Amino acid sequence: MFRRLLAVSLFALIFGAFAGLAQDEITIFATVGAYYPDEPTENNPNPPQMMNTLVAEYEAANPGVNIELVDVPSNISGDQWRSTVFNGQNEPHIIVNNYIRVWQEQGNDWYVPLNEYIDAANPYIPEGTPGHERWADSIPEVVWNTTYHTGSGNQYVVTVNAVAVGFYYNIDMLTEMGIDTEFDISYSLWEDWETMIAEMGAIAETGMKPLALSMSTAAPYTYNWFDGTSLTSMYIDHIESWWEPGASWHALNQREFACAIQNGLISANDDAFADWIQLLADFEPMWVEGYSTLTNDETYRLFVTEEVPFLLQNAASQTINVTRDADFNWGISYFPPVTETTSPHAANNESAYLVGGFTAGFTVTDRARREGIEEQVVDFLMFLTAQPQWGRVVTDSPRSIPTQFGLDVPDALKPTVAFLELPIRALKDPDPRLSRRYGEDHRRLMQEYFTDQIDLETLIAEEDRLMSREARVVIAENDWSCDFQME
Amino acid sequence: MFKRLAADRSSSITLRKRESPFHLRVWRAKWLYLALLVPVALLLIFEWLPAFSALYNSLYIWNGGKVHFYVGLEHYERMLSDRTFRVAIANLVGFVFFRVIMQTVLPFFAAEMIINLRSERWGYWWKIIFVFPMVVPTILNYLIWRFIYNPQVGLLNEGLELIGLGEYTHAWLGDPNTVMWALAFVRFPWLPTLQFLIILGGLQTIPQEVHESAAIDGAGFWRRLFYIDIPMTRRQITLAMILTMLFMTQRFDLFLVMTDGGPGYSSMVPALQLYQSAFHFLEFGYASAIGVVLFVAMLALTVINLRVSAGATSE
Repeated sequence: MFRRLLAVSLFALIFGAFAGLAQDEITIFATVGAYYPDEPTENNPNPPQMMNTLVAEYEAANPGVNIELVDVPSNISGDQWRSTVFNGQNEPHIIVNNYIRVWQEQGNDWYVPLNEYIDAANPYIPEGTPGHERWADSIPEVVWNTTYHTGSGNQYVVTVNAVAVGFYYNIDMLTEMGIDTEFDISYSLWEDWETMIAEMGAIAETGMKPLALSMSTAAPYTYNWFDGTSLTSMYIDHIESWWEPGASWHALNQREFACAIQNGLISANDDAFADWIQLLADFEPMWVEGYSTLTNDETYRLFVTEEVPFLLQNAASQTINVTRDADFNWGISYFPPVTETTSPHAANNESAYLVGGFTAGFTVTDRARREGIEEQVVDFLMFLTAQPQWGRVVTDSPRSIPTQFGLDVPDALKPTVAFLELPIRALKDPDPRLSRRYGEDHRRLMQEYFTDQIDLETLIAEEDRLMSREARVVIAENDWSCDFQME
Repeated sequence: MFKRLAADRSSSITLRKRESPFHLRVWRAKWLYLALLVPVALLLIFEWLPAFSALYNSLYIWNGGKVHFYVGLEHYERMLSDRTFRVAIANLVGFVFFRVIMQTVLPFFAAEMIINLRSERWGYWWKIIFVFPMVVPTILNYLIWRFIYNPQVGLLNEGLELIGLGEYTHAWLGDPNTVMWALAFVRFPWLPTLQFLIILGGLQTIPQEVHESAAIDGAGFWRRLFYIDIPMTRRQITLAMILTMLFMTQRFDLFLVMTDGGPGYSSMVPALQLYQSAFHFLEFGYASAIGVVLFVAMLALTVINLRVSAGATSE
């Protein structure tokens, strides 16, 4: 009996000691989005592996810290995956997520506010490089302004990438059709919206739908990108009065837009709104058949197989693919400015805008706080997003345009970087403009209108109802006051 | 004498039954009950509990996380005025009606064909041919059909061009007038394995003598079909119909992969709306309410179907 007790006690002691040792070890689980190292395949024997290299370097510099990169399963939606891991309290410590999703989910206390951390120095950024003294300074203010959550006043996301959207065009096809394809950054391939519609219209008259784009809600869609841009042009003279006091040109946050609706500063019954609908309706006949269900991959295939002369796609990640796949001369342009030729409401619109914006960013989850390793997790994030490290990531895998100051852009992305010189549009994609519900329902309403299921009157009435309802919901959820616009 | 013995025996059995109390009987069969305990517990945890929690959650606003407060029947009221839900129900009714008919009639004729084959060997091979699609992953099927319907390079439009019917080429999934038909035709010629095997099993239980007698009486194929085969497999047909109805009502993967309910809402169905409400908009309470309504509707339809079928059989 005594022997048995002794054996049990010894086992408990040894086990306890090992458990104690194990507690000193920290394991940080992190998703890294599109930069997750792929397995080599026959077609891609040397996939980007920079993330593995950086993890190894960090682990070597921080004994006792293990980094496990987590691949988000591709067979379920990101929303579904997050609901599952967060509710199961099994979420990675770092999650790559779109800022609009973070806004939507922040009420659950799933994410750690990063306000204090981004104000602190980032030791991984070399002296003299923006961000060394204050991490936030490594990224342009416009990025922070776009992604911070106005409801709580918190910054949950560190966004290190931008997406610029471009019109890819097939120079050979257009030359054959007698269309000038000279492109200069000072103006788009077309001087204004009307010129673009006229040129595309001439192609459409030959029986070919000139532009491949996706308005599918099942896939990443490209329709959204010009939805916000063109709406910005129509309200250009009013937007300043919607900003919170003291703000300079920026993409409107949820509060500003919701309050503008609540205060009657923008409505679906406006003449400007009707002009905007008309602008979109004039553009729709240029889109390929079945745009409402085509995926991005399918539209891409149409362009590289020379079924269409234009493709609307991500100007960063697709540049690599087009370079690889296109057997013709091609170029890349962006949306032309909408001017008073199109609508009197766009009379003072002088510019084309950066179509696209800031992509998913890094968030630190509540698990880091629960496990008491928040600072270590943030430290790894500082390491990863510092220019020396992130520069190597994007050079190895140039999928998006990096936003940090003082970072060399890889050659593959250079043609698209010029787009970042354009001013940012004031009205974002429908989802982050107001709410995800609004974005989804608005897109479906537009599809109904384009496919003649509803008439203009019904569209306006439904849009009005939708905008008012969602503005009310968002304002109530966040307990916002909208008085600032009336002062 | 034998009767008396039998009576004695049955009374002694009754006596013995009376003598063994419930707990003793349970104790004697303890291993059986223990063996049952695990699957029953799993069933309760993973099937029944989530199903009944939907009823509870349908009375709450719940975002899948911390936001969770009671709103009573608000979600059900909202459903009444929800245009998307109304369209989704209308789409579903047409889709289910079409598929229930097709997925019962065609497997029935396929099973009839096998039963009527003289060669058993051929019958065996036909069975394999009909059952084989079961091993093809459903999602792969959908992707193949997506490709078939592709407006630019799809097999359907290419085929129409090839036979000189180019003017009928179409964005089948992108047109609200054709999208539901296109989805209804996915997996044409609708020979679902389970329903086919159920009906085949039913036809195989009809005694050969019945068919032989009918043949002697001069009954041809159609008379035999309507007066023997259909009445005698009514239960199997009912089961096949109920299963199809349940499967099709719960089906959202088809709509998610092929169209995501578009263009507009023209291929939206309640199961997809449920999915989107929960996982896109984090409205788990509203999604639960949709689930409850679907559950009640399916239960009611199943009961009606069974009653009608039972009534017809007893006649």
